[in-house]
Amino acid sequence: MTNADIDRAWAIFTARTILGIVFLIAGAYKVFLWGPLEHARVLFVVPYAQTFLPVWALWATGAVVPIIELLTGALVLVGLWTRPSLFVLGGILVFVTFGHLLLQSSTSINPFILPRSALLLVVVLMPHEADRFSLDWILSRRRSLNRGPA
Amino acid sequence: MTSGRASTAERAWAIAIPRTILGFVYLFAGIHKIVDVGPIAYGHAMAMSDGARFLPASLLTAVGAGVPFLELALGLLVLVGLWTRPALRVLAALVVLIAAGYGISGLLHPMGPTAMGSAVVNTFILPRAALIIVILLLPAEDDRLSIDGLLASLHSHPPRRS
Repeated sequence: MTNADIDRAWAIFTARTILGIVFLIAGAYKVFLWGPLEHARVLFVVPYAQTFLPVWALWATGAVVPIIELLTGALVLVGLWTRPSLFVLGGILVFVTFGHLLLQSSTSINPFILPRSALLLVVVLMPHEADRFSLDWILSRRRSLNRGPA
Repeated sequence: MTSGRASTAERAWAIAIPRTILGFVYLFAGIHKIVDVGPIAYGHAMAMSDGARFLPASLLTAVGAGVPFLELALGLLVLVGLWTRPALRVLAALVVLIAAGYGISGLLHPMGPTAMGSAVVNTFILPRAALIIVILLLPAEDDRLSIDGLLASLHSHPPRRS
């Protein structure tokens, strides 16, 4: 492993763990302290009641999003199933962007969505084998060692 | 059509700018904590934070008293570009630890729908993390306007003996 590999691993680790912490904490707060249904009511159902969005969809997404944030945030934090988790989180960011812009000005996405998207892109655009401080990397290395020389 | 890569001087500037900004940020963070707050007072403040729910106050006081000197030393190293990469790795670990600390604090004192206040995340954690990430992702050998770069060029072109 070269010094450049170590530096790149640290860069990915920094972006990935901060992203994981941010989503894990948000999810933990909404699921355990707030409750998914109360989260759905306060942030989805009540504000969007006058829009064209169906109420059942507001309840469903409002209750599920915090759980997804919690699970994918934890996975991204430790670097397990990182890529699928990042794609799910990317979908959530796009979904939340739509929700914000439906009711608020275009600048409303600046404090929450853009910084998280930037961190997510840093990790996604790096080769996954460069993320050496992750469980994915440890597991893939163990698999290749068990497989032995070809 | 221009060539596909920036010149050596341009790449050196591109890495020197975020490195010196980051160096100044941590250098002055350390200086302010030492001069304006005082390392012991900073340690006591840390011992009275939410961290005291999970860690011994004496440990937090000791760590808190050491943090300003660590920031000052790391900031200085990054600013002048000496042992830059090891210093950046320590700063990366520090910023992740601070993010985790603010995350736990956000669960205890939620600020907004994401628990961690966007003011803390966006104005404190992310700009520092972004600078660290950018510098780590740029090739170390491009950082020629640094002491590391100077030492590397001396090693590769040793002065001739008369």
